[in-house]
Amino acid sequence: MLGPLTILAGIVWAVAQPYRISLAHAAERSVYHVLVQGPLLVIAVGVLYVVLVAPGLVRDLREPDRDPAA
Amino acid sequence: MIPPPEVAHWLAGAVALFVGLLLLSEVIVGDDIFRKRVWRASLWPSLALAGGTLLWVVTAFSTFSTIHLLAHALWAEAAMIAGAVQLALARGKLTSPRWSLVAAAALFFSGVAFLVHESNPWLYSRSAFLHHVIGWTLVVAALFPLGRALQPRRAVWSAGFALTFVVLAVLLFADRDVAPIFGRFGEGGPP
Repeated sequence: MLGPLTILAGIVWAVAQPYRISLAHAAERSVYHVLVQGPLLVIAVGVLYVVLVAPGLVRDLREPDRDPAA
Repeated sequence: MIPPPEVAHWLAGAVALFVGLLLLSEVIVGDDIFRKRVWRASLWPSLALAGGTLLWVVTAFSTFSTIHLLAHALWAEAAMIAGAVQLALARGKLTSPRWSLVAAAALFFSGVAFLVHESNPWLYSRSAFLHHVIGWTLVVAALFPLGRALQPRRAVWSAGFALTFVVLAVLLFADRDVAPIFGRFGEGGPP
């Protein structure tokens, strides 16, 4: 649940502060302020966790005796 | 093209949030399951080590102020040392829980560096306020790895250590280069 909760937190933040997501005014802003905004970073971290960490953890929890090398 | 300080702080916040999620999942599933795969156990120490290396780059660009340069150098060194020790623990090269004292010292001295290098009072600006809050948060949070070194089986120390990174991420995400302490930056945000 940690990953989806993090993604949800990022979406809630983006809705609460929509001026942070400035794709509509991309030409007027630096590339950093368009791409590197808090809500987008939080969503990206959540997605990274869901894709990279969560599946292996769930698998190891369900099959604790499984050989990691297998 | 050097990113503005607030952008660098948000990126650091993202790394801190990811480390916090990793540490929280270790607390939830337990050490045995989490450390079953070496890459997973090595992930956050490696991030700390890589983050410390990147902080040296930030240090190199912090020449506008000696105290900023020294503070970033201390954070870089603390992250690298703590990351290296945790990496050795994850790979089984070190085994004693007392090595958590290194993480405690890293948090404590990082917090002190935040407090010392902020010359303005708490309510001067958003940045000054956050420096004070982050500094005291890290100083107090040093108790968690200290507790883990003394009582390694108590989950409360590990949970506190994990949540420290989540709180640190929230504080780093709240940073703006120029802003009132609370409230919105302004209509339409910064240029």
